[in-house]
Amino acid sequence: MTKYILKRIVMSIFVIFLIATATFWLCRAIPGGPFDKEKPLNATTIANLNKKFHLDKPVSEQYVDYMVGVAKFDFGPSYYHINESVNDYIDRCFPVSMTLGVWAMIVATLLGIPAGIVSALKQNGWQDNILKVLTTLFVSLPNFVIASGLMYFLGIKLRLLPVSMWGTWKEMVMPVLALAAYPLSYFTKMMKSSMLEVLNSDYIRTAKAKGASNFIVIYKHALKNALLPIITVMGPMFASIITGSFVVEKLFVIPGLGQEFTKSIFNRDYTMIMGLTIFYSILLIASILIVDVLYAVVDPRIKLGKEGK
Amino acid sequence: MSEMNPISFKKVPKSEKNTEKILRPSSTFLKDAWYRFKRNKLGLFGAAIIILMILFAVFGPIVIKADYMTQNLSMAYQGPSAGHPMGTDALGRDLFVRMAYGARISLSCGFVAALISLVIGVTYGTIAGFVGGAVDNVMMRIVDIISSIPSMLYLILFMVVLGNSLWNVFLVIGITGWQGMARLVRGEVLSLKQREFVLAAKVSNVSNWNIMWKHLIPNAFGPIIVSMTLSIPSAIFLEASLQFLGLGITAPMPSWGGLAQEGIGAIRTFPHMLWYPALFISITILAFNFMGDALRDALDPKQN
Repeated sequence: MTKYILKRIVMSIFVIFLIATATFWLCRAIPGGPFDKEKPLNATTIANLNKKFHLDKPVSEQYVDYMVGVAKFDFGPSYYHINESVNDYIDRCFPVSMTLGVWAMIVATLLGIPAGIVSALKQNGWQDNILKVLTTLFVSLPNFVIASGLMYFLGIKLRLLPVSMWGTWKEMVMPVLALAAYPLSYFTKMMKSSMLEVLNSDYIRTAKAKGASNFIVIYKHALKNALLPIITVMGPMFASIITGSFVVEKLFVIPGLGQEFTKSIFNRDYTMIMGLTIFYSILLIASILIVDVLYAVVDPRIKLGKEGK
Repeated sequence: MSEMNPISFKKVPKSEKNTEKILRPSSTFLKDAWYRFKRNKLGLFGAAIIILMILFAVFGPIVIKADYMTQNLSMAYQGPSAGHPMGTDALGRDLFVRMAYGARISLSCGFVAALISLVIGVTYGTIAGFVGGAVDNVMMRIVDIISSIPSMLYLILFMVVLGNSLWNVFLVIGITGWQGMARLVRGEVLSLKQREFVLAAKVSNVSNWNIMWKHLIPNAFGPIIVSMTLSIPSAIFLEASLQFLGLGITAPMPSWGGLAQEGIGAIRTFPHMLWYPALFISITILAFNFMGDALRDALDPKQN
């Protein structure tokens, strides 16, 4: 078990290293310097700027410096915002995105899992049919369509909720719902199919045969096992929430990291783009690692399989 | 045992002579698939919508005589009318024509990107599966690494590096979306290369190249087509999201995502500017998904 976790950690660090390297060299490949503006700066200014950001050093040295920085979780200064570093932005904006993402995940899990159970228990009933239509819709629609639909009906037509800004719970409802729509539907689908599979298995038949009540069979025997596959898709769902937050934060004017990321692309703020890409990658790979380890911990069958080898 | 007696035998009447024969005409794989596809109502509906969208993209600008960039400020923000079936936008440009050009971009993005990821994914997956061993292991780990990062992230990075012209966007979406195809083809090739017909080909000294392209890939045709159909909507989805963020193809070329983004600005006053692109994107993506699912049932019946 420890060996497995260690192996996974080493692998994840290696992947992060690869991604950071690729990102660095890709950003070097952009034609033109970072200080080329519409109104050209004079040569001395550029030379000074280059000196300030250590761009006068050879590229290989810059690469080593940057990688050392990444290892210390320091993504360097922003080229666009004077006297602010990428880390300042992460410190300031990430908590907002985090709150949004965690709420979306909570909503998706708390609604998706029961919806999936209902769907499985009442298979082909009216509840299942309604859920089938809804999940198909929300899995395939782009989240900006869902978000703008919510904005129009709840915010503008019914005037129930404010359409922008961030802070109070009222302002949080729509962005969280817009972001949760995809994982929610995905969880419902997953939960339904895994619940159906478990309900058809032999040990459920045994439990029924020995006279366990319906409640015990479903909640004690079936649910525990049906929940396992849900854990495996947590990682990809986390990814969808991050990319979804780019759109949702822009649409609802939320001062989060996603909006900062899209802004930095407009500003051609290369260090910011690099830093945030690597930051998001670290976040994702860490979450996938945690999910995998969690899965091995929760499911004793996997642990046995790994040690048996 | 008694002696054979001709009297105890009866002649079979002519009408019963052929009862053992299988009468159903033999059917090819494609005929079978088409038969199964035809019975799937949702899949047919999806295919019909896609054909309508293609017709709209091709003939839309011919029906309404206007081009997508002529501005006419005295006609700005008009609702749907006889002259402008979908109204006009903030600069008085006809929305119907802009939607048709948007359909051209969105649909061709879907097809081109799917084609690019088809080529990369099939080549990569076939090589990994056919060579096998350490090469396969390394190649698939690379795929794992690439697909652990959401494509949106490095899509944006590539766009920053390459610039956001029309073909760059198609190309970048294509080259970021091939991992699923590679995995699928590798799996198919791994199981197909164990089969006798591949052994027979090897024995008759067919080159590895020909085994891959003439024997393995044609046999994996069904799942490949299904996966390609399902990758079209995700390319359309990605392109629309990029334009919505303002990172896609540059103005004045409209795509549905860009039109939706223009619509968001006028959501309080002129919601029709948002509804048409949002509706068209949603319908198209759903139609491709329906058709893909139907194709899966038709071409790949083993899956269920």
